[in-house]
Amino acid sequence: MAAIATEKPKKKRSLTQIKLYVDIFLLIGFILVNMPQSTGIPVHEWISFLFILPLILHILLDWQWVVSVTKRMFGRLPGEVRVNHILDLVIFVMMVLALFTGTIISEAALPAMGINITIDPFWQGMHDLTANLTMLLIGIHLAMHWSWIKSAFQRYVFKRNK
Amino acid sequence: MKLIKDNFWPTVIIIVAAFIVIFAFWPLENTSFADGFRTGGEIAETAEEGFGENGRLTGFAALLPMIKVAALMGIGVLFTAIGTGVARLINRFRSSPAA
Repeated sequence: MAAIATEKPKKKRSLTQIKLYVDIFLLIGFILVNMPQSTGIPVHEWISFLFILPLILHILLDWQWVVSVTKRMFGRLPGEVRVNHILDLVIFVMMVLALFTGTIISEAALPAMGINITIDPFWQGMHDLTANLTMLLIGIHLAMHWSWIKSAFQRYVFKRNK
Repeated sequence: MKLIKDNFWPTVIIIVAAFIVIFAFWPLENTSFADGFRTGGEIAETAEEGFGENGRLTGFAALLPMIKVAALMGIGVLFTAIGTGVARLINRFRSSPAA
């Protein structure tokens, strides 16, 4: 009993808090991934592979929203939600293409695994194009969720409750 | 266990969707659009020579790519701000009694 009394109660994190931490991690990763000239190609490639995990987690944490909006996509839905969903879909396509094209033009990660590929300038060009477009779209994505970001930061980072 | 059970199918759906995107774009490789990238130009040269370790920026210059990321994301933010502003103006015009 005494052991139970002295045990510190575990603080349960809210879903919003977890989402915020995953998103911060994702944004830092995204910025690092998009600086191959600074990090060097090997770091760029390995971080890109690691980036897949928080990216999937980011989608999984909002999976209920994705499912419910997809179901109502052709029904009655506020315009902003519809635009958000289409934008998210385009970002997903662009990120998948950037990751895929980055893999098949790999200069460090794949050769380190014993896989050597001849780099096709087309995939190199597509990699640059999709990466740049993704950066632009992420700017839109952040701006569209600005009120959520602001309130989550105020609540969990600056510890200010409205 | 519940966590794995709840997230298993969504993860499978995400991965399958990613493969669909990849296989949808793969045929582009054999088009004249792709050939445009292969004939000369900066991209073709970079692909041929490779980025390499020598292409890495050091010191203060290493921060320059961050400016590129910030600028591109900033353009996105600007687009949204303009778009939201225009949407608000249209809504205000629609809901005004004169309209």
